[in-house]
Amino acid sequence: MARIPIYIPDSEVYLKLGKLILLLNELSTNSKKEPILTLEKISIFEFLTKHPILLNRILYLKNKELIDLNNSEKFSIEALFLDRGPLFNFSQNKILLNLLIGYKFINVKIKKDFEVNYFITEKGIEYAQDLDSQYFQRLKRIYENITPIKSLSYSNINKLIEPYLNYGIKD
Amino acid sequence: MALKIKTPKLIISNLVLIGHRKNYIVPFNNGFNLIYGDSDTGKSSILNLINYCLGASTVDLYDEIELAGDYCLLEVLLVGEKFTIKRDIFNPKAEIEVYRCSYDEIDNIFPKYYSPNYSKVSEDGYFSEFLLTSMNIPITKLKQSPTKKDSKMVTLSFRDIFRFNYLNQDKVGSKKLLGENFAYLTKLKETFKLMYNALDTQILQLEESISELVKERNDLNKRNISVSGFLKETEIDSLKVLEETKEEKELEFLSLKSALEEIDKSILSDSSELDSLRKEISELEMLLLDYTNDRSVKQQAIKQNIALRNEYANDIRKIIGTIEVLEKFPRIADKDTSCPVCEQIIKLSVLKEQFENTDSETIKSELNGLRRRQKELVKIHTNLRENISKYDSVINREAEKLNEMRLQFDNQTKEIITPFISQRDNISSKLGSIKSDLKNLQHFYKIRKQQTIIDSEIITLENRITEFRDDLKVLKESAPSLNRIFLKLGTNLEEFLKFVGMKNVNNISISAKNYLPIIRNRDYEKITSGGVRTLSSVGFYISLLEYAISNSVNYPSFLMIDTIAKYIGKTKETDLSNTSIDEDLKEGMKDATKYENIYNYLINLSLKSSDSFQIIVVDNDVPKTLEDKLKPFIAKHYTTTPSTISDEIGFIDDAYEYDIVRNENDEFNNDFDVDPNEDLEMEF
Repeated sequence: MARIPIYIPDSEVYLKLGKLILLLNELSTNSKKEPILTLEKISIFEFLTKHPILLNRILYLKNKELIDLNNSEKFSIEALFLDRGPLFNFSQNKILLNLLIGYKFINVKIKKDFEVNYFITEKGIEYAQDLDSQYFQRLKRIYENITPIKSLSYSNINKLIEPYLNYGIKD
Repeated sequence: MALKIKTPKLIISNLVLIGHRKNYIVPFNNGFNLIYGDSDTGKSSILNLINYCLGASTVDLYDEIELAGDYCLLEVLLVGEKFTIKRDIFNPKAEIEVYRCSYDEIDNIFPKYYSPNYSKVSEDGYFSEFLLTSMNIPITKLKQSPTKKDSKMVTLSFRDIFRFNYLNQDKVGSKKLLGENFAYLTKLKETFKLMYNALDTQILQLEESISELVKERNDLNKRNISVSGFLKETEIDSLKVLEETKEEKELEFLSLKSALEEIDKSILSDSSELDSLRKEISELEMLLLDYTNDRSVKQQAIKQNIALRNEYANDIRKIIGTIEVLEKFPRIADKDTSCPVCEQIIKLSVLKEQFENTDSETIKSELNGLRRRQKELVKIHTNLRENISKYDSVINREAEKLNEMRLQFDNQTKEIITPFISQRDNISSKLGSIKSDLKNLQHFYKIRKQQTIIDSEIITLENRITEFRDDLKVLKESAPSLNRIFLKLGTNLEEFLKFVGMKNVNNISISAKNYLPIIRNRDYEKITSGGVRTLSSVGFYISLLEYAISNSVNYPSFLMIDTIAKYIGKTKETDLSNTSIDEDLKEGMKDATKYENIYNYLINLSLKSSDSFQIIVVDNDVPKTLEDKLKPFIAKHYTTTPSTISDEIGFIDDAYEYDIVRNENDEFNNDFDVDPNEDLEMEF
């Protein structure tokens, strides 16, 4: 990957790892303790946490509790200009997941049809719960709000956000 | 020798073709007029146009006229009275307009509208009847079959008479001099009798015409009395008083109008004091607009500032998060990790290389930088806010000022204009009443004028009645017999032929059967030599003219001849089939003296009595020996190679810019103008 000579917080591997382990901590399994996260779903949830306005739209459509957004989530440059790249390219997330597996923080379960599901390990949970800076606390709140829709299939979620991606978010 | 008639019935003064680029004028004189020139220069078209203006049903024009022309005017003298006839050259069915003035005055006079034929009635009647009446020729019904007692009657048309006044190119020397239509020939013979007052019914008809005229005059008298009675009862002033009041009112109207303009002007000049205020207002408006623009630019900057500050806040939180993970996650030494799905073994460090992996020191310094920048942004934001509130107060202040100024402007405008308004209203209502007064006056004026017109019409009618009564007296005393007329015409023809120098001039007379010449006891139609026919036809028409010069007859002493020298000298190839070359040679028709003598005859005639007739001759060339002698008679000379100033290149003399191929067939041959309402019956 080409390196740009300026500091981009989002590109930091440790930030990304922290975000991912939190995601898996909150959304790994359904109520029956079955792993439900595929690479695609992980990627789309990751995208939604980055753009909470969009997330709120979907929650609204599904009649779920909305997130109380703060100014930096509504009016930052990141919020105003969506980067749709991660929705189509999962390779980065795949590598990050592999790293977490290396840490023994997560494991995989292969279901029928060769569907790979990721879930957090005991060690992972321990580390995830230890993260408590302002940024991660806020992230935890958002993942909690995603919980009611975590069992939706990837294609379902995709269908919900597609119109906004094509025509943009308008109030 | 008989006396010359005083005023000829028909004299053409000017032919004018009104064109898009310019007008084309051909002037004519009394007596002999000559138009000659190369072929394709529009000579024959001149005669065609004259014929058309005198009521021909169609006109064949050469292309240059169609391109350049619009309508044509013919200025004529009818028994000494000047008329201008206007006719559309593209629409023969359109009404013919007649103005009682010269051609350059027609804009000042209302025309009368006549229908060109009998199929349509126009406001002022038929054109043919206008011509006949104006030439003092009685409008007569002719028997369609003269031998039958109860024959149908047809109306005499001026076109029938004009047959004997126009020899076109086809008819000169033609065997069928008067045409071939038998029924029409019969009508022409009756016309011929009328022309010489030799019609059996003529005395009767003249009496009828007189009684009609008398009735008309009595009607007019009655109308005149009732009009003047009406004028007296309604106390309408005389023409003179009316004119004076009209002038007075017009003057008053003009002065009021100028007063109104004066007021308008003073309103404008008074309000010019407000101009500076007006200017200030518009300047203030511009200033306000500028301020508002600046303010919105600052507003935009604040929005951007906030977005950036939020982004920085996010970044700071992210960096803190990164540091936390860095510190809390276990320091695992680089080791191999296996992919749980594909069982491939990869080094963790290799995986990490895919991302940024900055050490914590650098991250911390970056964090401090970000915090600094955030603080600066806050400063900028405060600055912007202050700026905007400054603009707000300025804008408020100026807007208030602007409102005040506008109010002031409105008040002042009101003050200036109000006093003028009542004044203005007063004057314009006065103007309106004067306008309607003037309209009424004009109406009365017209009524008064009508009375004088009726007076003059009565006088004209009385003159006509006197003339007809004289005619009737002459007729009753000495009804001329056709034979005596034939004898006179024959003698005249014989003189002409002798003068021209035709061989064997003997046994010349006019046939009582077909009213055509008999030469050497041979009927005109059976003469084989085209040259002889040409001489006799031209001679015959000239004799008719000469008779009209010295006797009171019912046709104009007027003649148009197109190509007088047909079959004499050179014969055109197209004409060869109609003549016998051998006969022509035997008759000595190649002899140039005959050709010269025709012109000599016409010159002599013109010198003798030019005031009593008009002849218009069109020819390709004139005898070289006579060029000087003919000079005073030349109306137009057209040549493709002009040598003197008086030479023109053609009737349409500015056509050289337009490349036109002329249609060979520019002669017309259809001027039958028979009343279509009456069937023609063949007589056996």
